Amino acid sequence: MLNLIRSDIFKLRKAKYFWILLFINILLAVGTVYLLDFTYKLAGDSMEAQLSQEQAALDDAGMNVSVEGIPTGHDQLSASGQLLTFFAGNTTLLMSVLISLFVGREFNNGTVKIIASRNYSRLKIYLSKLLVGILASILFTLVFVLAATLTATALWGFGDVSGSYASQLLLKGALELLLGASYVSLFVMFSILIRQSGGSLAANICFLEFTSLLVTLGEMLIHHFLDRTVTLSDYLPDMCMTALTQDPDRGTLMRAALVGFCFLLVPAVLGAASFRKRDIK
Amino acid sequence: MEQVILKTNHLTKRYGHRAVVENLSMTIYKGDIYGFIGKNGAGKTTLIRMVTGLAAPSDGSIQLFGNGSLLEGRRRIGTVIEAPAFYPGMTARENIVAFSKLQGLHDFSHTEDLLKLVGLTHTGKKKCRNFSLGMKQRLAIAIALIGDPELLILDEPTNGLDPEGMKEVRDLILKLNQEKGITVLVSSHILGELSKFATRYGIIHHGKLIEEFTEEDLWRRCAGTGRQDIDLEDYFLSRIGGKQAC
Repeated sequence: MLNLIRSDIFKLRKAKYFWILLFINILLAVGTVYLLDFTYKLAGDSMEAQLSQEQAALDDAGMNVSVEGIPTGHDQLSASGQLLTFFAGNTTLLMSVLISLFVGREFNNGTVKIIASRNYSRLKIYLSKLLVGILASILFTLVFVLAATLTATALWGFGDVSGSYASQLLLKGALELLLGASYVSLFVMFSILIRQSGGSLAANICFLEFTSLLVTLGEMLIHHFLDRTVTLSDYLPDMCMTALTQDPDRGTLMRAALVGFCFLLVPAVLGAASFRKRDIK
Repeated sequence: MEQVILKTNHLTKRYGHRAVVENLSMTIYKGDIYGFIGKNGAGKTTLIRMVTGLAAPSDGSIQLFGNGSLLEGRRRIGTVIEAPAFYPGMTARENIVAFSKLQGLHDFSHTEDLLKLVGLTHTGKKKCRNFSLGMKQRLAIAIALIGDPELLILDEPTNGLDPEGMKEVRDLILKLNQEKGITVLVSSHILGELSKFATRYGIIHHGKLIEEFTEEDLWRRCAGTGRQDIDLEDYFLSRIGGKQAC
């Protein structure tokens, strides 16, 4: 299986789309910090009031979103705060594109036939794609973090950190990476099921963008019509990522870990089973 | 006694209630260039997919190199199935390196030898997406030869090629068989081309193997009737039409 992984890493390194997406990743990291800086400068003293109004509106609508943890003024911005509140950024969107191309193109090009006709089981081929995808996700996330932190430090300074900052950052960072890996697992599953890069790209982006929206909409409607509060969205990876950026308690951390592991394992099992069973045409 | 490289026993593949390969038992011996003949849709590619592990048989068994483990057997085969497959954004050398890593090879000195064998040494930094069809086909064969396979399975390797391209592929197959002792299974419906280099044939029709024979067998059968002018194409058409040509 090591040979499969080596071959997959070589192919990814040689792929133009990998380097383009990595470059976009860095641009997004730097751009996001500058945009935040601009937004806070523009809002001035009214940022705190705006955030309160937003929270009230979200609560009235029954949406399970909190603005807690977001700095209320420009003077509160710091690189250390940015690390805790916006760790992984938009890397999941870029990973949806990367995985669609990385897995889908093996089917488009027909090279999956060569790989599958060698002495490797379908399970090993699947796991190799998954592992290399997760490695790419970790790389993209860490590059994003590095670029954003350097930019934020240049603009706002690193800021004061308490004694528990490092352990908090490591724990949140590890959970973010786990949740990122769980998205990769979903993307690999969709790509293997759909078997072409265009279709899997559409499916991955739709899943990423619309699942939370649909679940949150459902919660709003239930709150509006039945006057009941349901928080299914707490069990989605991106909502867990958002929860980690605030001041998560032990329960939130445990939930994020559980959601991460479930969304990592279940699609992997389903995807591998489908790949093993279906003929390759 | 000739060594058996590939043997299928009553191999069957069904999609729903339709059998696309039915009860097919064939044998390929070491050193053969086995021409697998059939019309479009006869089941040639389906059989190849089963042998190479891309499709699971509904019934029957496959033996590769006389041993029980198909995964181990597949380590010793190289394949080109339907269209040539490679990474279009890479050069020919990079493609060979990528597939060499897959085979667990860490020394890439064989890359130049393979490119020389298939006539692609001068491609330099040209991306494979810009290759002609003949070049793509030769690259696919080079990829199939990584790891020194003992059995080469080529599914319709001359499809879409011009006469010069067909000759290049034919000469390459003959060279691999005669100089390196590689056994070759070639499927095709272009019988005139196949008859120029195959040493043994199998005719498949509607998923069933109608007959296996060598070229000598064919001539020997016709000699008794005085028909010396029959060729492979006539014989094939007569067999699938249900009539004996000889």
